Amino acid sequence: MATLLLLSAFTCAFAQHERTHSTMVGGGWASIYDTYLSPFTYTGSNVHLLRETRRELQHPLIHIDGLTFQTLLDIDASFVKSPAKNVDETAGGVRYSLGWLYRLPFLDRFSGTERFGLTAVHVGPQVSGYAGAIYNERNGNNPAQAKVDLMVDLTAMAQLHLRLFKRNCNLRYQVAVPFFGLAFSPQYGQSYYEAFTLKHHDHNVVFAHFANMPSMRHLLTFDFPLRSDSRTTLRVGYAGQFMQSTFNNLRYHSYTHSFMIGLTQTLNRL
Amino acid sequence: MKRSTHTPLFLFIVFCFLLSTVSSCVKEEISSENTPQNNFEALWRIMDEHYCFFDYKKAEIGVDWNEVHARYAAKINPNMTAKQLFEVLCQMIGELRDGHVNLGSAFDYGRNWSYYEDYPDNYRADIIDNYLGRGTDYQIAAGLKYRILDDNIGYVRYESFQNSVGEGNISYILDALKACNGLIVDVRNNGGGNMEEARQFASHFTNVQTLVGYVRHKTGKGHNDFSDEQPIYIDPSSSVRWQKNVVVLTNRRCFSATNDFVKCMREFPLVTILGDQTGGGSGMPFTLELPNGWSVRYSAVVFLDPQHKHTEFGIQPDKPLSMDDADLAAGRDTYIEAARKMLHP
Repeated sequence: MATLLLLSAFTCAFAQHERTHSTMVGGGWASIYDTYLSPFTYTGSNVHLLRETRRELQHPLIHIDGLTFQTLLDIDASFVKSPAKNVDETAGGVRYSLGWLYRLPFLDRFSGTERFGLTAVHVGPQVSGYAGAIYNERNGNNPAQAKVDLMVDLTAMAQLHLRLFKRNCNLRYQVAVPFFGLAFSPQYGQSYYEAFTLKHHDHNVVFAHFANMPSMRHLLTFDFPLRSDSRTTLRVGYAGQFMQSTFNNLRYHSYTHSFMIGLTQTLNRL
Repeated sequence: MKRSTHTPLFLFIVFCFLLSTVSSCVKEEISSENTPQNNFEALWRIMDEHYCFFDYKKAEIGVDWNEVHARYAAKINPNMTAKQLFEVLCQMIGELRDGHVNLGSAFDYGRNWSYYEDYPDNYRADIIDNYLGRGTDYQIAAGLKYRILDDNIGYVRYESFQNSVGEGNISYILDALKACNGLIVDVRNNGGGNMEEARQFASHFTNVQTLVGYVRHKTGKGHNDFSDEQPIYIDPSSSVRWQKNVVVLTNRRCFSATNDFVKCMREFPLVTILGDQTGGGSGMPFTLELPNGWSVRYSAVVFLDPQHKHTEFGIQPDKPLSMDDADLAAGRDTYIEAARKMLHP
C-alpha cells in the first residue's frame, strides 16, 4: 500500500486538467471457493463501495497526449453459505488501484456532435494492491485465510457517447487483468500458527502471474446527466470481479457480480 | 490522425490474453453432490489428500488407506439413512485411531477416543479435592487451582489449556509457591486446548532457550508431500521462573496441547514426568466438510519431539505409576503421594 501511495503522490505532481470523481455503492451475488477453508463453493450476497477518480495528465517536460490517471478504491464484503447452508463465511477486503491509461489515437475522429459514437479506447498499466480475508465460522485451526497481493495489471477501457433525452450520456466498459506481481499464500497444509507465531515461512510470498492467478475485473457504467447542463451525473453500472488463484496447491476463486449506483462529478482545474 | 499499424496486433494480443484468462476457471475438484456415495468418496479423498500421519499409521498399526477405501466402499448404498452413513464413515476414520479425527453432524460427534477409553483413569476428581481442600484453602488464578500442601510442597492443578492464562497469573502462582520445597504440576485429564498457552506455561521452567521439537506440514496431496522440519524452541519467560524440582503428573487423557506440554517439560533438567503414558494427539487439527454439511476434523500438521520422533500415540513418563486401589479406598492419590516423596529433600 505504501508503494501505491508513493506512486499516487508522484502522479499528482503532474498538472491536471479535467477531473472526474465518482462514488458508487451496490450489491449482488458472490461465489467464494478456497480449498484452505473448504473443498466446496460458498455462495451468497455481496456489497461494494467503489470510488473512482480520473484525471487527464499533462506535464511540461514529459509530453504525452491522451494520458489519463485513474485511481480506484474498491471495498467489498461477501456473506456466503456452504452448499449445505449450515456454515457461514464472510469475505472482504480493500483494493486500491492506480492506472495510467493511454488513449489510442486512431479513434480521435469523434467530433462530439453525433448521437452515437465510440469516443475513446484507453489501454495501459495499472498497479493494484489488495488486502482482505475470508473467515469461516466453523473451522478450528484453519478458520481464516488472508488475501494480500500487489499486482501489475493490464487494463483497457472503451467509452461510448450516447445522445438520449437531449442529454449527453456516456457508456464505459473497462477490464483489468492482473499480469504479474506478488501475493501471500500459506502452504497447502501450513497453519497460521506456524507462519506467524513460530515464524516458519514456507513460500508464503509467491510470484503471481496471469497463469497461476487468471483473474479479471470488469466495470460497466452508464452516466446520465441529472440536468442537461449539469456536471453531475447519475451513474449506474455493473462491477464483475473474477479473481482466481492456484498457489501452493491451494485453489481459490471469488466471483462477484454487483449492480452499482452512484454519482459522478466532473471538475475543471484552472 | 494516422492510424497506427501496430494497433490491430496489440488488440489481438490483448484478446488472446483475455481468452486465456477466461478459459482458466478454478472450480471444485470434489463434487458437492449430496449422496451417500459422494459423501463417502469426499471423506475418503479429503483424508487421503490432507491427513498427515498415513505413513506413521501404516507402520505402527497397519492402516492402508487404499485398502480402507475398498473395504468401506462395499458398505455404502444409495438408500442408506444419514445415521447409517454416519456410522459407516465413523468406523472408517476410526481406523486411524486418532483423537483429532472426527466427524461432526447435527445428531452425533464421531470419534475414536481409544487413547484413553482402553486404559485405567488413574485419576479421581473427588480425591484431588481432598488435597486442594475447600473454601479458601486453595486459590484459583485464571482457572489454575493451587495451594501449598501440608509438607510444604506446591501443588498446581491445570485442568485445561483452553482457558486464557496470562503471564501475570502464572507469575502470581509461582511467586506464591516460591517457599515450597518442590512443585507438583497436575495435568491429568487435561484434554488440551491452545498450544501457545501450554508453551507459555512451560517457559517458566527453563532458564535457557531449549529445543522442544520440530514441526512440518503438508505441501501437497501426496502422503509424503511434506515441508522440511523446522525446529521449535522455548525461550525462558522474562517473568518469574521456577528454580526447584518439578513433578508433572500425567495420565492417558493428557491429549493434544497437553501432550505437547509434557513433550516440552521433559526437556527441562529439573522436571520429572510421573504417571501413565500421555494420550498423544501430536497433529494440529484442521477442519473441512462433506457435501451434506458434516464437518471433518483431521490432523494436518505434524509436531515431532527433539529426536525427530512422533508422539502421536503418547509419551512415556520418566517414572510410570498406576493408582493403587488401597490408596483410592483411603481417599489418597497415589500420584500425588509419590510426587511428594520425590520432592522432599
